[in-house]
Amino acid sequence: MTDARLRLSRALKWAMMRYIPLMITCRDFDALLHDYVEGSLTAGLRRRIQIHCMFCRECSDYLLGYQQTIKLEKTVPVDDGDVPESFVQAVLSARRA
Amino acid sequence: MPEAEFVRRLKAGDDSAAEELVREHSGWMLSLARRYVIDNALAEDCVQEAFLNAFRSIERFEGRSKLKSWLHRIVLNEALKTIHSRRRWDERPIEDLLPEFDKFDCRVEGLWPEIASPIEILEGNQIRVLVTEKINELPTKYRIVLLLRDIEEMSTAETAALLKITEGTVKVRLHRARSALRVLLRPVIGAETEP
Repeated sequence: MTDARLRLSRALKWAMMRYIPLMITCRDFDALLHDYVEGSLTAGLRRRIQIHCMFCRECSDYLLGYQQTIKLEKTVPVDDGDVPESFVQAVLSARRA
Repeated sequence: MPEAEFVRRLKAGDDSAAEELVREHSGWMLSLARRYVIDNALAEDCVQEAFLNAFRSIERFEGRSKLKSWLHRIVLNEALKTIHSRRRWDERPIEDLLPEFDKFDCRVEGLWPEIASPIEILEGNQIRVLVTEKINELPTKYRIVLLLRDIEEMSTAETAALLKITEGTVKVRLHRARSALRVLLRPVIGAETEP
């Protein structure tokens, strides 16, 4: 996106944030995001997040990335891995000491 | 063998039961400790200390939880103790990784790469390793909260109690950790999904 188009897009967004009922700013959106993802927002605030997402591509995209990040981190495996025999023996001899 | 019988042998100081305990549980305990302290040698120290604590306090184990859950809590406490005693100060400030806003409070952000699904991405082992590496790049106090809340799946209240911080602080740190991790993962995912 060129600089001129970027500026125009931001100006439009700013105008929407000011004049659309129940619209919140991106900064407010960010402050509510944790509770939104955790499902602990009131219905009213949840609606405000959803309305904001309808008009703000950046925040809508941010939310997608945020949710996918959580999914990615949660699927990192908790592998058992190999246990060196020397480690087992070290624990057992420390127990006997 | 039923767990109650196994615990009875441990309480009686049975050497073979002790060895069985170490052999059966060392793998996941080392993996858990490594996730927190990152360094392999430190993780081994944590787990060794956790086993010694467990042997010393097995008398007080009442069987209200599974033995594995009890050991989990012990090794977690050891890992957190190690982190507190060896806090790293050369960490990247998390502020560099948090969202930016312009003077109108509008988000200034590059777009998230299009991906089919995180699960498909994770089919490659290389990505799993990269995600783990990126989690390890987070500043410690944020990384710990992310691990406890998102990986261990502890509640906000449990995490706050364990770390002796308020629930509000847990929420703020978790949100910042996720936001920062999102920034760290973006190039990884972007690179992986290029045709």
